[in-house]
Amino acid sequence: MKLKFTKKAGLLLSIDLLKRAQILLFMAILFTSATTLAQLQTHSDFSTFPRQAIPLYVEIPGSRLAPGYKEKIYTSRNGVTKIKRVSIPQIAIFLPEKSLDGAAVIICPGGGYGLLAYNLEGTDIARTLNEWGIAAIVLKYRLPSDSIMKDKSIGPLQDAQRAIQFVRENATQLKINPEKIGIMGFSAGGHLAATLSTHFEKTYIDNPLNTSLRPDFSILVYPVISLSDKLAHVGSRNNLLGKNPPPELIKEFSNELHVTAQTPPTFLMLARDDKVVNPENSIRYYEELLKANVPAEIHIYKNGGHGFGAYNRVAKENWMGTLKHWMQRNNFIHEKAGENLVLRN
Amino acid sequence: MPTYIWDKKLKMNFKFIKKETLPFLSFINYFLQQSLKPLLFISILVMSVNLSFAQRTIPLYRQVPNSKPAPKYKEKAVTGADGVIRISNVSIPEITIFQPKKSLGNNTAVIICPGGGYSILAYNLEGTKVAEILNSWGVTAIVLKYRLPSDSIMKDKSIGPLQDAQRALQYVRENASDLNINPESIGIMGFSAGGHLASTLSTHFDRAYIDNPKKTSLRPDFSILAYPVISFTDELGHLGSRNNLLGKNPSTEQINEFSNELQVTEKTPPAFLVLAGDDKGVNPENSIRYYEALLKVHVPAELHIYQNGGHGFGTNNKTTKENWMETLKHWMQHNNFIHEKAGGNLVLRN
Repeated sequence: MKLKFTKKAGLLLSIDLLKRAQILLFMAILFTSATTLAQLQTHSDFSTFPRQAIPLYVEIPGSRLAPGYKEKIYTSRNGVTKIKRVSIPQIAIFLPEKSLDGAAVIICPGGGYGLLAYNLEGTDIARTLNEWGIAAIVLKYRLPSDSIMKDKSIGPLQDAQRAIQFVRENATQLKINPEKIGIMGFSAGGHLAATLSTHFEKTYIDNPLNTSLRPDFSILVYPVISLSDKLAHVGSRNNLLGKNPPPELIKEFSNELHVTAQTPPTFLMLARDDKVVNPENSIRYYEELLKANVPAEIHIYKNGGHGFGAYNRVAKENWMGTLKHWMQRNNFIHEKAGENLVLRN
Repeated sequence: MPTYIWDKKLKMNFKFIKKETLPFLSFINYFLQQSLKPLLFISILVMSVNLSFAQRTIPLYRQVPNSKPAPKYKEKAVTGADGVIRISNVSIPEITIFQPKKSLGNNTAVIICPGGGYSILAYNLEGTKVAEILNSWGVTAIVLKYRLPSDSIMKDKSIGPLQDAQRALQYVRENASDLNINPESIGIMGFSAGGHLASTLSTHFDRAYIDNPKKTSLRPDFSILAYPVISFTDELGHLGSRNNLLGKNPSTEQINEFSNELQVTEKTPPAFLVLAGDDKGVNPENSIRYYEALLKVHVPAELHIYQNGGHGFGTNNKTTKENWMETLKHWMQHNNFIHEKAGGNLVLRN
C-alpha cells in the first residue's frame, strides 16, 4: 500500500515522531534507573560489576541542547580508559560482596576537567574499596563546556552534589549508612571533591527533601585545590572558569579559602615531585584544616609524580593501605575490613 | 641443657654474641638462674653482660669542649611508671653503637638523638628501642647521649648539643671502616627536641663547632625527624626547648640562627618527617615549614602527618594500624640507604 503525503503533513509527522522519540528516551532512562535499583535489591552478584550506569538526572540542570556533542571513550597506550565530552552525567555503583559498616565512597576521576581517567582513577579504585566492604560509586561528571552548559563553572559541582544526594536518599536500598558517605577525588577530581567538601551549604541543584549535601569524609589524591594565580593548575582553571576569570570566581573555587570547622575530615596523599599540580595545593588545604581543628592526615611521598592512581610504584609504599588504616581509625570502616585484601602490583 | 634463653629480649641480645662465648654465658645464666632470684635482677644483670658484647659505649671526647668543671653535677637516670628511661644532667656525652647482625651490603648508619625538651633524654623510647629496629634492617644505630644545655657545665650552652652531634658524626665517619659503615651513608635521626638537634646538624654543617683537623664532612647524608622541634620563633617555637637551649630572653639573631626552617639550603640533606596533627607539645607547623623550605630548594623529602598520635609516641603510634617505621624503611629502601630486602624478618612490636 502506498501512501501520499503532502509536504506539510510530512513535516507534522516528523515533529510528532521526534516528540515521541523524546518521550521514549525519557521513559527508557526512567526504566533503566528503576530496573537498576530493583536489581540492586534483588541480585547479590550485582556487586561485581554494574551492567548499567544510572543517569543522575531526568532533566540535566543548567544544560544546553547540543546535538552534535558526543561523548568519546578511548583507551590510551598505557591502558588508561579516557572519557571526553561527557554531557550526560552518570554514576556507576559497585557494591561490595559483604559490608561490615555500610560505608560508601563517591569517586571523582581526574583529568584536568578536560577528560576522565575512568579506570585508573575510578573503577580500579572501586574494586579495592569493594574489597574493604565499601560501596564505591564512580561519578562520570560533566566536563565543563560552554556548548552544553549555561554556566560551566558549576556543572561538575552540580553533578557531585546530585551524586551524594542520590546516594544518601537511596541509602536504604543500597544498604549504605547515610552518615558514612565519603567523597574521593584525584587531581581535578580532587578539586571537585574539595569543592563539594567546602560548598555543601549552597545547593546548586533541586533539593526538595533538604538532604544534606555534606560528605562525611574526603579523600584527596594529588588534588588541585586552589585556582589562585600562584598555585593553580592552569589547565584545570581554564577548563572550569575560562581564560582570564574574574578574581571573585577564582576565590569562589579556591577551596583552601573555604575551609571551616564543618569541612569533613580529610585524607590527603600526593608526591613531592608532582610537576603537574603544585604540592602546595595540598599543604595549604591541610594547614587550613589544622587551623579549623578538622581531623586530617597528609602523606607526601618523595617520588611518584602526578597521576599514579592506586599504586605508587616508585615509593614501594602502598598508600591505599595507609588510607584503609585512616578509615579504620575514624570508624568509617571496620577494624577487620579487607583482611583478605590482596595487594595489586 | 639449661634454658638460658628465657625471655624475648634476651633472645634478641644473644643474637649479637659470638658463638664461642655462648657456653660461658649460658653457664653464668644457668648459675644465676638457679641460685639467684628474683628473675628481674638476673635478667638485668645478664643483659648488661650481653650488652658488653652487642654494643659499645664510647665517650665522645678526651676533653669535653666548651665545658666548665662542675663536680657536683651528676647524671641521673630515672625509669618512669610508663617504662621510659629518662636521663638528665648529662655532662659526659657518649655514643652507644649498636651493630646489626648482618648489613646486607648497604652499610648505612643512623645516629639517633632522643628527645626530651633539651632537659632530659627519653633514652629507650626514642633511642635504644629505635636502634633495635634499625639493627633488624641491617642498619648500624648509634644512640647519642648529648649534653643537655646548662650554664653550670657549659660556657655557651646554646652550642653544646650541636657540638656533640657534630662530634658523633665526625667520629662515626672517621671510624667508618672499623665500624663496617659506608661513610657516605650516615644519617641523623631525632625525636622532638632531638629532632631540633638533628635538623640543626642538618643545616649547620658548614661551620664546625668542634676541632676538625681532618676536615671531615659534618653533613649528614639524610635526616629523619620525628615530631621535631624545628623553629624557635615566637610564633612556632616550643618554649620549653627554647628556654633550655637559649635561655629566657634570647636575641633575635640567636632565635633565627636556631630556627632551622630559616637555614635550609639546597645542600640540606634529604629528609623524612613524621608527626601527628594533634600534637599539643610541638606545633605541627614546625615540620610543615621545614618541609616547605626543602620543597622550595628541591631537596627530596617525605612528610607524613597522621591524624592522631599526639607527641612523643616513639616508634609506635598506637592510634593507627599504620606502622610509621615501616614507611620509613620503604623510604630508606627507595633511597638505597638500605637494601631492597632489608628487614624481611622484622617482627612488628606493638
